[in-house]
This record gives sequence, structure tokens and C-alpha cells, in this order.
Amino acid sequence: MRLNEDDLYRQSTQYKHWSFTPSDLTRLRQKTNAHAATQVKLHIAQDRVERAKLATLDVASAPESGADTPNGNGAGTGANTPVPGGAGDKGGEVDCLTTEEENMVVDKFCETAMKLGDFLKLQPDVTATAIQFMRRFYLYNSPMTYDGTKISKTAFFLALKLELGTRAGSASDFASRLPKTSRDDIVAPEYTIVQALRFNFEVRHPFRGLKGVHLELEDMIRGNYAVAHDGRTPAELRGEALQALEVAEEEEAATKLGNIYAHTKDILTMAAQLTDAYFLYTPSQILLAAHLLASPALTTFYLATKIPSSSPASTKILSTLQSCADLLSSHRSYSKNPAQHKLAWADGDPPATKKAMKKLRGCKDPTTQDLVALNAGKKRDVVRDGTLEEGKAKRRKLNRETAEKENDAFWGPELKKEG
Amino acid sequence: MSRVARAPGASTKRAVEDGGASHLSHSLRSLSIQHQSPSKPARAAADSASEICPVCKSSRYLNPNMRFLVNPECYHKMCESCVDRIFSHGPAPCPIAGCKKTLRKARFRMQTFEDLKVEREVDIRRRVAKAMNKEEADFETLRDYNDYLEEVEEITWNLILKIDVEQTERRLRRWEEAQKAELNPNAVRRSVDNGPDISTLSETSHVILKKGGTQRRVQGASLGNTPIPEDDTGFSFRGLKKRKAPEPEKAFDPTGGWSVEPLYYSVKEEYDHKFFAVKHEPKFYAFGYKAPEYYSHALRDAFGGLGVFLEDDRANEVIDFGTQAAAVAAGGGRDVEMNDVF
Repeated sequence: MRLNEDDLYRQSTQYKHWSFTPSDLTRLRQKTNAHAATQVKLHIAQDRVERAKLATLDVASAPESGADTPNGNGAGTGANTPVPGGAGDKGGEVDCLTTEEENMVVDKFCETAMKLGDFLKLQPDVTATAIQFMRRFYLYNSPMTYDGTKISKTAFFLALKLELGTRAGSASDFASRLPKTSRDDIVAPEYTIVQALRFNFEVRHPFRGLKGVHLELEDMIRGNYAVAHDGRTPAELRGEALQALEVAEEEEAATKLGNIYAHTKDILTMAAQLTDAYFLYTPSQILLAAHLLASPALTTFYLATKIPSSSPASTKILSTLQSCADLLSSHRSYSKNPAQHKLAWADGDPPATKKAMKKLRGCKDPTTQDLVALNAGKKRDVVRDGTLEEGKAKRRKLNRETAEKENDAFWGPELKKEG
Repeated sequence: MSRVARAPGASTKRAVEDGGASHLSHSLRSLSIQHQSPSKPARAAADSASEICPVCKSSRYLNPNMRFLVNPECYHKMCESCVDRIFSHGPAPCPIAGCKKTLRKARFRMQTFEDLKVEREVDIRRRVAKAMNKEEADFETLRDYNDYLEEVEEITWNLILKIDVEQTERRLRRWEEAQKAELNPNAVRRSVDNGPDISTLSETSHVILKKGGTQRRVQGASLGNTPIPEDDTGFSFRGLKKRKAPEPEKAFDPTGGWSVEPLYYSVKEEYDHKFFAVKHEPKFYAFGYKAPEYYSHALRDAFGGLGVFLEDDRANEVIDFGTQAAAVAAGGGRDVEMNDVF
């Protein structure tokens, strides 16, 4: 009937639904990519057929209507307007993104989201949560299907609500802080995202535990830390901690600890967000791996006070931390000396990402580009492929029309009779 | 009467009990209950004495709605209007000549049996049965139970025949208290003199008139408030099983017995640091938040999942109904298709 920290973590949705082994993760992405690719091809083909139909209609009706518009679409069917971002729509085979390209695109979306968070001056928690929402969302959805800029705005709004609660403000407030964004843009994809997140709103961020680690480290440096598992006294621990920090005085040590804290936090708010670390490792492992990168000597010493080096778990934990640290340091945002402008690294994209972003323009799913209309349509029973029964749709339409008519009446609609 | 009702199945075995019955008891059994209603005059109006109030001498003949009441203190009959007249202003002595009992209006009632002796016996039996409420299962053997019943019968007859009434009453009260204490040890026996017990039917239990406290005290002393030994339970019966008090309820544990025992850290009460800047502001703690909660949260976040290796866990849960199967069932594959809803 006793639980330790690991058991508690195993109860979280992050562990249950959002933790994967690397192979699982790849398989899942491949599956998502394959499905999205077939959908995109199908929808683009359907779209082309419809456009062709409309175009012929236009040609036929143009002389009758007598419209002498230059491009001949006087009826305004929009048949000849290009497909949204239709750079790749030349009528040939649709060239869909591969899984790797999708990854690059999602990373690019996340980087943009990070800049957006910086622009909105949001706390790092909110930005991190939003980015994790996006990463989780794009595990089960393809960037070909849903556009990153649209999704990121709503992800930010959700994260804001999650982290700040009632202080988050309304959707319109949030929309007014963003350029060229209306309330509907924020609200429309909300349900789609939340559904893809499986209503798992909790994100366990590694930087939440960072303060805990530093509470203990400060304690050690002051010589207040309780006796370690191997019987080292507080005084001995203090000496070793100072040695690991390569300082002699407590004050110097405190400054140095502060630097390490800042560096770790930078790694956790950038590199950890933009890699798959959250999917592959637990928050504690990510945290200690980042700490390991920031200060290898101190972290090794700290871990040794926690886990006896003789125990079998020790080597395993250390190797896991090392692989996590490798993952974090492989990201281009990682630098040993944090720059003045933290997001400077994100200004130029690698050529492969640029290429992928360009390719994305040609393979967007035409049916899911206008999320606002989709949302409204869903609410108003717009059906495709006759999903909704005809009779039902008709009845609802009739009901709606009567309601609208009644609402327009001078005294408003008739009051409902009780009972 | 009540004994029969208590254990009807075992009545054949109990020779002792029937042996104690007397002429009164027999008459009691053969008696029919008197149906007396104000609208219907008693049909057996043979003796006209029963139709005339002994106090005001008014007759039922003149007032068909007249009702006769008795008080279990002395069982003297009188009409309702007399009761109203005499006792409306508080306790008063019985108006019947020679009777010096103090009566209260509230205790007056219609008599159930025509014979007042029977009425009195029933009352006494009811009172004794209330105190002596043991059952056969409470005794080791049937013999012990029968002995108990005999003792009860003896107590009853002592009270009926007015032998040692005062002492028997006291013993009964001790016994009741002892029973209560046995059932619930927390109910402390109070030896405070809380006035005469008007619920008892004894002849000696006086209702004290509105008199000074001194008299009351004197009365209390004269009533024989001799100190009774603490372990005196009034009666003791051979073979009576000790009554078991119910188990005290355990304190509610909202965690259901689970507790968190961290592997990698232990939380201290206080840390010297600058993170939790508001730790000395009282307003921060107004709703019960405590600094150690902050510390324990931070440390739990720091180490939660340190020893969780996804490779191992997922390998062990290949057919895991909790996570992967649920993910599939919840539409792990279908999530991608959800845009088809539109």
C-alpha cells in the first residue's frame, strides 16, 4: 500500500497515453502519414473533378449570361481560382510529405509557436504546454490535413486556459492580441484539437521539478542536507558539492548554481520542447539530462547522493539520462553558452525544412483548410456524402428556418408552453 | 404476560415460570380489555358507584361525555373535569381522603383494565420488563435463564405486594445504569441527584412540590442517598454472558490506506532559498496552503518517473489492456479520420 514517485507518475495520462518507445513512435507517425496521404490524394482528386465540372458549366453559361468578364467566371463559382496554396496543383500526381518531412514541418510549426509565445510575452509554461499540445496533436493528425498556424493559435489559447485558469481571458481577448485573427479562428479548431488530445490536458513539464532539485542542491552547499544514503555527513556533502562546482566559497557557489539553473531552464524550455523528449522520456529524466548537460560534475555528484552507484538501477538511469542528454544536445537550439537573444537560432531554417515547407503547400487537404467554415458547417449539419439522413437534415433545416422566422417577429418568438 | 411474549417457543420448557403465577396473574390473563369510549357508556353499568365521580359527585347520567382518569401514583379514579380543575396549576395532593400522594396532571390517563389492581400489576410488569430485558441467548444455559426469570418474577411480586419496594427500586435503577454503562462505556454514570425519577411507578418516588432547594436537599438526604459501591450492579445473575460493546468505528482514511513514500528524497519542513518568495507572507497561507506542500510538489516533480523506463515498461505490456489496447479501442487509428465527421 505504499507508492513511490514512479508509481505516481505511472498514474498520469502522460505516461499512459503519451509515452512511446522510439519504434512505437515511428510506427504511429507512419500510420498517420499513410492515412493522411490517401485522404489528401482522394480529396484533391475530388476537388479537381468538381472544379472541372464547374469550369465546363461556366463555359456553357457564359454566353447566355452575357457576362464579358475577362476570365469567364461571371457566375462567381470560383472554379478557376487556384487551390489554396496551389503551387503543386498542376494536375499531376500529388506529391505528399513523407514521415521525415512531416517531422520537420511539425518542428517548424513548433518553432514558430515558440516565437509566437515570445511575441505574446507568455510565461514559458504556457508556451511549453501549447507546443506539447501541438506535438501531441500532430502525432495523430498530419500537417497536410491541419495547418500549423491555425492549430498553434488555438493550442496557445487552450494552454493559456489550462495554465492560467480564469485569468486566461476570453477567446476574443486572445484573438485581439494576435494579428489578423478573429474569435472564430481561435474557437473553430478547439474541439478538433481537444479530441485529438483525448481530453488529456495535463502536461508534466520537466522544468517544474527543477526548483526541487535546486532546493536540495542549495541545501547541500549550505551543509544542511540530511545524511545521504551512504552515510556521508552534511559537511562532507558540502565539500563535495563545492568541489563539483569548482568553487571554494558559498556565495560563488550560489551564483554558479544560479547560472546552472538558468542554463538548464533554457534547455528545458527550448531543446526539450522541440525534440521528441517528452514522448520518449519521463519528465524527471529530461530534467536531470538537461541538468547533466548544464553541469555534468554537479549532476553526477547529485545523482550519487540519491542512488547508490552499486545498485543495478544506477547504470540504467545513467545511460537513459545520457541518451536523453544526447537527444537534447542534438537540437540546434542547444548551445553551451546561452546567447543574448534566445531565439536567434531559429531565424534561419535548414534547407531540408525549407524544402518540406514548400512541398507542404502542394499537398494540403482541400477539405480541411477552412476550419471556421467546417466548424460552422458541423454545427449546421452541412453533410458530405450523405452522412446525415436526408429526412433528418430536412427536418432540422425546417426547424431552423421556423426559428429564424420567429426570431425576426416583432415581439420575438412565442414563449414555450409549460409542460 | 410479557414473558410469554418474549419467548413463546420456549414456554413449554419453563416450569418454574408458571409456578410463580398467582390468582392475580390468572385473573389478569382471563381479563378482557375494557373498551371504554366517551360516546358509548360502559355497558356493565351495574354498580352506580363507578358512574359517579368520587371527587365532585357528578354522575355520568347527567354528563354522558364524562371520562374517568387514574394516576399511576395512587390509582384513584376521578373525572376529567376534576383533574383539570385541581391539577391545572401544577402538582397537587390527591383529593381522595386519606391519600397523600402528590399527583401531576400529565400522568393522568384512561384506565385500560376495569380492575385497577390489574392495571397496577400491568404497569409494574411493564416497568420491570423494561429493565430486565435479557433473553435466553444471553445466558450460558437454560437453567440460568430460568433462574433469571424466577428472580425477575420475584422482583415483580415484591413490587406488586409492596415488599421492600424502596430497595428493589434502587436495585433496579442500579441495574439499568449498569446495563447502559456496559453497552456504552463512554456514558459515564452520574451520581448527581437529578431529582426524583418520575418515570418510575414506585410508591416512594415522590413528585416534589415547588418548594425551596433546602427542602429538596433534605428530602434527597432522607431518601436514603447512601453511597452505593461503584461495582454494585443491583443484581447479579449466574451464567449471564457479558455484553459486548460494538466495535468503535475506525477513523475514515480518504486514501484507503495508501501512502506515498518517496524513494529519492525526503521533504524538509523548511528550506533556505529564494524560489518560494512568499513563504513568510501570512495571506498566502490563508486557505491552508503550506510551504512544505510546495517543497514536496517540487521534489515529486523532480523525481517522478526517474526509474520509469519506457522501453522496459512497454515491452512488458505488449498486450496491455490499460494503455495500448485502450488507445486502439479509443480510436488510436481512428483519430486520424475524425475530420471525416464533417
